[in-house]
Amino acid sequence: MKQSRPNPGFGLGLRKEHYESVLRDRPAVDWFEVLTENYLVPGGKPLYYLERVRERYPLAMHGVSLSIGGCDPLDYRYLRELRQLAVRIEPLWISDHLCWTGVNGRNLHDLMPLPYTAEALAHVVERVAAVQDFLGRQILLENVSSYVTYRDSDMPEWDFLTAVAEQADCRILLDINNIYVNGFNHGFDPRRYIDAIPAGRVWQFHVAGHQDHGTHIIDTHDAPVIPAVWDLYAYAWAKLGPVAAMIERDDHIPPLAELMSELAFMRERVEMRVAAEGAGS
Amino acid sequence: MNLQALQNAFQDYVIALKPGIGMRIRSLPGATASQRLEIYAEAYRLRLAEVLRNHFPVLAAYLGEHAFDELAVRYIDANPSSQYSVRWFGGGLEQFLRAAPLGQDRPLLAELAGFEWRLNRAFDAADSAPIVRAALAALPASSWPALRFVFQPGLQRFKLNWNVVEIWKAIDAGQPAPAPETGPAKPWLVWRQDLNCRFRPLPELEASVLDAARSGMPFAYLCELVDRGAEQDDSAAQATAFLQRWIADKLVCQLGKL
Ligand SMILES: [Fe+2]
Repeated sequence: MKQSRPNPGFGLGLRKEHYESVLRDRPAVDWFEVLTENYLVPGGKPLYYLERVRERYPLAMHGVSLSIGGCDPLDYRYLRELRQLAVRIEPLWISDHLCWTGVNGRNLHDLMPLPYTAEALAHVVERVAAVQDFLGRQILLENVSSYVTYRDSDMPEWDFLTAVAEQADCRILLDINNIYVNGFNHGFDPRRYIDAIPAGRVWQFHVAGHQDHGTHIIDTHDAPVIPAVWDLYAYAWAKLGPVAAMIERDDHIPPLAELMSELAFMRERVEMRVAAEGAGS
Repeated sequence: MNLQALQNAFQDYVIALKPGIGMRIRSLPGATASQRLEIYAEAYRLRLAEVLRNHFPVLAAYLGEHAFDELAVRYIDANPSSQYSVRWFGGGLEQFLRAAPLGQDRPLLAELAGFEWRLNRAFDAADSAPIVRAALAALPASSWPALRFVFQPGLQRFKLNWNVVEIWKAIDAGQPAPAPETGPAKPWLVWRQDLNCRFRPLPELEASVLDAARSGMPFAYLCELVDRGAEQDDSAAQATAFLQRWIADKLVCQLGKL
């Protein structure tokens, strides 16, 4: 069940707007991340394009429906479909979010934050074990952005995330933008967060853009990455790398060429960092 | 507050704006607890309204942004999602419109929603390998009367009272929509051919023969139906013509015997 950490390089989220140009132009993207739920459908275009892209690129499966922190029983119908899709496309890995998405049979279709308590920790750890058993592989859990601070929380987010990963023996998908957003919204230093994360647990980075509302920042994935997030990414890479990284863009999707130049910038940031370290040692 | 109670309270806030969760949230510099909570309530409605806009792009354009958003919020508040995927979220909009004052004033809206939803269903319906003409031609004449047909999963049969397909086509092509027109209900067909959704009106006779074929009736019975339904000289030739059209449209994916 254990694999050593692969480093497929620099990726992008696969978007239907880009299916045709990905197949036609074979852009120099090392791998693509696909939104799992988009492909848990009976047939038609989504699966057709998924299989064509898979013939040419490695894929990671990124889900939003696991509700690993939710208090409803795990949805085994969903997990069975997830497992079937994984058999079909042999993903690099399967990830979802450290959050809950609904209770009492409801789905809010949002990544709702968990309180950082011993109770929530024990609950998540138990469920991750069940999911990993069922899937026969370790999963990655991603830190989410949040806009509320619960009175119940009695540890910082980074301790909660680290404890989940260590106790459940799962991997971390570290979203650099979400750390930045939460640092702003909850008033902590994002570097302190990154310093607390155990390097070997992090298998993937997300980098994304967001909307700054002045009093708070909303993680919208609809804009280019800002310089402060690039700086934080370089910092995280130095502490935790080498780690597979990708740019998330879920809305206001630009032509692929524009994302390719953002991806090139991402590569350069890392290469500059590696070169600077080489010169320093 | 334990984890379950906290999730219940937060969800009650997001779905129904019940304020209980507010006590559990800290106010921080920048924004109060209630301002922070509102981000979730607002994002929930915006996100699901966006899902509906993607499922019903022509209905949204036909109604206009304001009226569609209003409809979306009413639907969202009346129909919290219980599916893991947003793919299914708009499935109740046609029914919702039939019962809503807006839809009762303008019954074509529910039909338009129903038409778009059927296109969505066809879009990602299960794949199937269509029967080709040669397979039919290879059958001995003696096996025809007992022949049954299995149709592709994306096929949907329904009736329309309004000119919603004309309206759909105009808006889809960026043209102004024609005026609403109503008349006797007419049969329609939506299906998927390879990767593309298709639709066409069905003549009454073809519709009833297709319905019989889909319910598992053999070819001999289809010929009888044709015989009863119209002044056809050669009912077998007419039934065969229907079948050939269905095969050309890739509707048939399996042949079976009695
Ligand atoms: Fe992310």
